[in-house]
Amino acid sequence: MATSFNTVYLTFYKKSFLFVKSYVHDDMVAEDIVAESLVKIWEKMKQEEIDPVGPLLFTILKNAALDHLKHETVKQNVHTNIGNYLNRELEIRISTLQSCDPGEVFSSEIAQIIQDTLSSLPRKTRQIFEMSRFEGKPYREIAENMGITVKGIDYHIALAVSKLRVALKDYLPLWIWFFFGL
Amino acid sequence: MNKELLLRYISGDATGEEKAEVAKWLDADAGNMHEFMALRKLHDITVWQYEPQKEQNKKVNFRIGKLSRRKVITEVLKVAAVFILAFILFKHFDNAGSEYASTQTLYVPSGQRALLTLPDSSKVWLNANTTFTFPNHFSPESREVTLEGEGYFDVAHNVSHPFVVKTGGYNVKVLGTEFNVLAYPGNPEFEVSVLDGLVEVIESKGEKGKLIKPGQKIVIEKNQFQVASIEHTAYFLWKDGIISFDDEAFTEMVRKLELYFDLKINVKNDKILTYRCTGKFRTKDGVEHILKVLQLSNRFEYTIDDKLNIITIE
Repeated sequence: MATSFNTVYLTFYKKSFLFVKSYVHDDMVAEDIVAESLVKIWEKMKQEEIDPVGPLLFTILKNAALDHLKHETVKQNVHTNIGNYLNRELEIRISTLQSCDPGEVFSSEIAQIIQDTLSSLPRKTRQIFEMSRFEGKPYREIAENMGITVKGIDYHIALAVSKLRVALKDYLPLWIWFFFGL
Repeated sequence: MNKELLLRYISGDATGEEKAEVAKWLDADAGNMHEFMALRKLHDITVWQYEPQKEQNKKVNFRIGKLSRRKVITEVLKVAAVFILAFILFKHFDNAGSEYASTQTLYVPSGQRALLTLPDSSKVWLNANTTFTFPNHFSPESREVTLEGEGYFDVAHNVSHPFVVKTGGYNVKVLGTEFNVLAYPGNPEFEVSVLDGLVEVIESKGEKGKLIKPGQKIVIEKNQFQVASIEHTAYFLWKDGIISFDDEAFTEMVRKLELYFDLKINVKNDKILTYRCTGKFRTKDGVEHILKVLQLSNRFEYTIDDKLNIITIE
């Protein structure tokens, strides 16, 4: 077989972790889910050829994260006001994850737009955005690395995000109907 | 809702209270939810669609073949330099004969270090690009040496014979102690760090003195005295051939690398100058090793011009 587990791990670990963490909001849980999912997809790859790997891995991660979130609901304290909001917040996370479709995320058109937009950004902005979004570094660490303040990092990230938003405007607000159906 | 919080919430780094706040905000208005959904999806897309650049690693691997030859040459030169120094010193001593109070001058070039044992058995480590002058025999009254550059002193205790290090602007007077003196002539900063014993720093033209205790250092710039505690003790490992950076500004690091490795470094990209570096390196591992390690945490590339001995960083 051409690819080794090591290659799969190196290519997908970081992405998987950042993706899962953004839904489960817990580093340790995210690590567990990613580790299990990577083993799972590796087992599948031994049986049949899987190409591309991304979308299938995405679905495996999504299902594992959903399982986790659905269990979380029960544990939360519903008696306090903040508890109510937290339950609602969890609900929102579950529905966004449910509606999250690999077909939209893995479109090659989008990949091109992202590349183009990133290369049009000022170098510093792009670098900070990549450190945060793709390397998952905390703001404080990036600020230290770049020798600027955390507020400065906020600014560069917000700039990159708004540029990407404009560039991807045709692809983004697709899920809106879902929330009014709730 | 501030955008930073929303982004932090999406990446999964918001606190419980912040999450509740976000939920409240999302339900307050359909437009809010719309905005959130767009950013939420943008996050997923960018996380999955990003391909890190791989060119950087290739370049580094490519250069390794060359490195070994460079290293060998550097090592040979280092050994040769030590022999030449030893020979010059020997000649000096020889010529000086029994002449009382005549002095010796030792120059340590860039890229070199030296350890010297003085007539009173005090030890001095001299850093790169440093000139050190000392008498063949110390006079009965005091022990006086002159330093231009950086030296680490381990002075033999002798109460009746104070040991004085003279530099351009200040003299450092001690009885017996361990301390580091940084006094490069071109550098506006003069610094004495005391590791053991008491040290007195005195203006060379005046009487005004200041006592420095162990664990303290004094920094003098434009006649401003500033005493602080020593936080970065690993710095003094330079005498054992270890370069240590502790949250060092990139410009300062470049200056030290130039000094320790006797080369010129051009930084072409101003952004890189804002980086800060932390790490410990052995001088003998070479400057390329240091740059490669720094590349792991800071984004930059470098090229080496072997002929001109210039490194360009961009």
